[in-house]
Amino acid sequence: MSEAVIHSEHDDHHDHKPTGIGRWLFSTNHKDIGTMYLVFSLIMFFIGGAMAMIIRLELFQPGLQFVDPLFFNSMTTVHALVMIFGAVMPAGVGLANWLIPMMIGAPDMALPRMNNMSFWILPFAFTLLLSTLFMPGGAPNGGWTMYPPLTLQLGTAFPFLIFAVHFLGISSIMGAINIIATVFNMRAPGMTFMKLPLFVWTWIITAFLLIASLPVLAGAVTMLLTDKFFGTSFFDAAGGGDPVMFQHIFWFFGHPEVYILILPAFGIVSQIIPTFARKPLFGYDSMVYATASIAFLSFFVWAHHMFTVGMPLAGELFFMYATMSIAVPTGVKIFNWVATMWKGSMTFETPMLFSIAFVILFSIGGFSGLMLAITPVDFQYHDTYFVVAHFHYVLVTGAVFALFAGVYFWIPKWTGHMYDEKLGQIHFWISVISVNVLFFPQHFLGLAGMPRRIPDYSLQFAEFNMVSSIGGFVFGLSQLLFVYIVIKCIRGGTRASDQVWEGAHGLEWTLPSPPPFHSFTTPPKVTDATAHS
Amino acid sequence: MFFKKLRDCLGGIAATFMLLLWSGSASAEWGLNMRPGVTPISNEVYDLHMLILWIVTIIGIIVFGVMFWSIIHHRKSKGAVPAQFHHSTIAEISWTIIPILILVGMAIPSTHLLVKMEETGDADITVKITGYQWKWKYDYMNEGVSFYSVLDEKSNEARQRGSNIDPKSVEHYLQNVDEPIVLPVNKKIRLLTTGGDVIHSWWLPDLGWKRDAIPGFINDNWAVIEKVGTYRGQCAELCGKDHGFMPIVLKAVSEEDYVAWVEKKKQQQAAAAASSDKEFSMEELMANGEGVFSKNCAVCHMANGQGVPGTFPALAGSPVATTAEGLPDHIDRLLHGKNLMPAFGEQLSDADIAAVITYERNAWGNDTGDIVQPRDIKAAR
Amino acid sequence: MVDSNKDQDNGKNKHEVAARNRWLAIVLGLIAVGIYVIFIMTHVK
Repeated sequence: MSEAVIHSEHDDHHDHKPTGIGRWLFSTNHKDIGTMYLVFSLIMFFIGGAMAMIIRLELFQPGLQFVDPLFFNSMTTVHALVMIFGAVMPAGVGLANWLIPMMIGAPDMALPRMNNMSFWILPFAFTLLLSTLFMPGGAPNGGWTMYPPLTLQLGTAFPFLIFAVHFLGISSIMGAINIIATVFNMRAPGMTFMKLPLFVWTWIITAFLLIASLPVLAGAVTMLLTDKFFGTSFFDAAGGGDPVMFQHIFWFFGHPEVYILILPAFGIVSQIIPTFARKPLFGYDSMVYATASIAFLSFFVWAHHMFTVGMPLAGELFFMYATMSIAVPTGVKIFNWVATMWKGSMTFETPMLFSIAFVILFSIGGFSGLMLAITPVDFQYHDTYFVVAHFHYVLVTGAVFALFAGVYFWIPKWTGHMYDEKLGQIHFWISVISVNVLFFPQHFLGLAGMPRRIPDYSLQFAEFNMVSSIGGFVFGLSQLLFVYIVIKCIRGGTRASDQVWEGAHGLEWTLPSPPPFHSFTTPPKVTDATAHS
Repeated sequence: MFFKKLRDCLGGIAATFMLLLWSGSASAEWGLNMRPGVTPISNEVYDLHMLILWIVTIIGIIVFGVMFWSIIHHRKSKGAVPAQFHHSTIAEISWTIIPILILVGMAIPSTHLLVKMEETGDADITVKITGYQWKWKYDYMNEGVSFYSVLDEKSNEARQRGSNIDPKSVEHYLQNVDEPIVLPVNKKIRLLTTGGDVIHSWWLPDLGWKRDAIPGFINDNWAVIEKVGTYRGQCAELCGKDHGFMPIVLKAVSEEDYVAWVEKKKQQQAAAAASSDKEFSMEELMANGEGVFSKNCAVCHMANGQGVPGTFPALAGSPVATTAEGLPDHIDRLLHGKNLMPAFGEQLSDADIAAVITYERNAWGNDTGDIVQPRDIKAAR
Repeated sequence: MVDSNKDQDNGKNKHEVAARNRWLAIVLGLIAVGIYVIFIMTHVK
């Protein structure tokens, strides 16, 4: 550890926090806003999780026991919207808010007031969306992908869905602008781009993806709105429009969106594995270029979500080749993580457990993704539980596990207390086993012929559905343990040192645990020891 | 120590799972794998699927193997001292080039198969398949045979929420229909898919493909079925409430049986047309009407006529079904639909529509005493 | 926030930083709005 770094506790006389509800409602502090994002996302994770439990409960056995088919469709639809826009994305932004200023030696985000607005839009937008559960006609039920004409059959809830999506997009776009401005403009002297921690790099790239893709989603749902209320026929064949055009526009957003969900996770894991292997990240430059390549390529593959619509052969071939090509930079990243572990001196605290599980299980999701990329075989996989298995592997054992890893990794820094390591390990083991019981059998269900988004199924699918549901119940319950661990850690625990972890490198680990309300009010000196691992 | 053993154990379980999944045809019976199907294309699709699966399995075994080795040997508790290397141009180039080569190797057979699948010319028989909420319609373009295919009644009854009927007691639960699509083996069949209201998707795993049924557009597909038998599939694009309840059943028969079936269908169609001029008694209309209602209407309006508040109107006590002024609207509703309610004018014969309207006007305490005859419907078209 | 009496060592004072932040925000925001408008307009028949 370098002695040359200036500690900002000398500025402690500035460290008074505001009090009361105003502290949170009007916050312009990246740490408080980061905390609010994380708490919000945890609440939404349980709301989306409850919907998943309802889904798995109905699918536990053949026959319709608990819910009506229309309500079931609402559950699958809102579960996805909540998890994507309410849990994973806000959690990523929460981590970004907490960590990016500290990692680059900045005092706060570039636009602190806009930061506040970005957060508070979220509870508003989700109130709009979740209130539709209580409206006549029910919540949105046409899938989170909102394909017309089906989605236009929605009743009272329709404008609420559209406006919720608009607001969610605005929140994320503002957050992305903030991140780019912060990293481009407020790095401490000596913190060049190629010295940035990989977490910051993945967030820069994610921010550009957000700015490029969310306006397209906004355009798509605006067109849905005008088709329904203002007499346009963008997607109505009778009026000269095309339902498939919606799919093109939606997935032009939708594919970069999935990389928006996973790139921050890549960044988290790239911070954690070197720390616990006590070894620098292997191939830092390649990791940056691979991430940028993945993001760039992600704009050229959208129609692999639409292979069965009846595209011309040339289109199908192009999208197959482009999609397969993303496996190359993604593989490079996986190999680089393994090479970081190789010949390290590893210990296996909870963040490392989740990170290693991420590498293995995300790769399994990647393998099923490669299978899905092969167009002629995708005709069999598309719209089946094989796809459901694929994206849950990359999103749950991928993104969510990385988020868990990140919270365990940085919470001692944020709170000043170590979390309970034994409980963390129990949370990990129950989660990793149950999540595989939940999702692995879904590969078999898809291959055996079970479509997506159905509340009931024929008898040959019964056994694996029951196994999957049991995994789901255990996985869902075990996340309560995570809440307990987090709350327990906030309230107290072994005092955390500044560096917290033996192998930790980076500017955030030079600050006290917890850091002052305003940190790096004077920029620190960046040396090789405090740059990325 | 415990965690190390647990990790090794999990590795073993994972390997077993992988082996189970990827052991060719044997696992197909255990429901673990895709079926090879009954056409040359479906078999090629299956083979390509197995090829890709093997490739990713081997890659997984290698990568995860390296990881597990590292986890066991490169740990601090074993006294490992961390190396400090953090780049290797040779490694980076190798693990970029080798995957590219593997991908090119995968892309070649994939391209060949896809090109073959798109060759829809020179068909012997053409069938247009239209997806509706929530049934399929089959139009045999040259034979002049046309009919709807709806979830079989026993399945429909059992799948209602709270029916207390055990699905296991229903044959081919949720995979049975009243009228299967019948096709001859060893002939090239051109199957056109389109949608009547929202996007559906026609999927028979045994043919090896699915294709979306999109309103306003027609998709072109083909199949040569090589084996006599009954093949089952279902709708594969979310299409609303009963997306899970619109199965597809295809009976592949010999050419003679196919010709006989076409004849039979033509006769049935003629009889239905003739019944438009018949006169029926109240008992006949009520009996037939109840059957038509339960098959086509109860999904939304419910067996007790109460509907779903906010979405599907109640028929019991409804002015349309209980007043004289409502009768023309009642007939119009059936023939032409309204909002979410599809038009049944194409699907149901005059006799069936007359019967179901009579039933609705006299059931659930509606008790109008009205009798509607097929000629009333024919006149209103 | 940044101490008003200190220049940041990289030569930018807080007003320059804030001005550049604002400029970046406006440009990126306009790009986002521009993508939205252009996408809709190009899909009108």
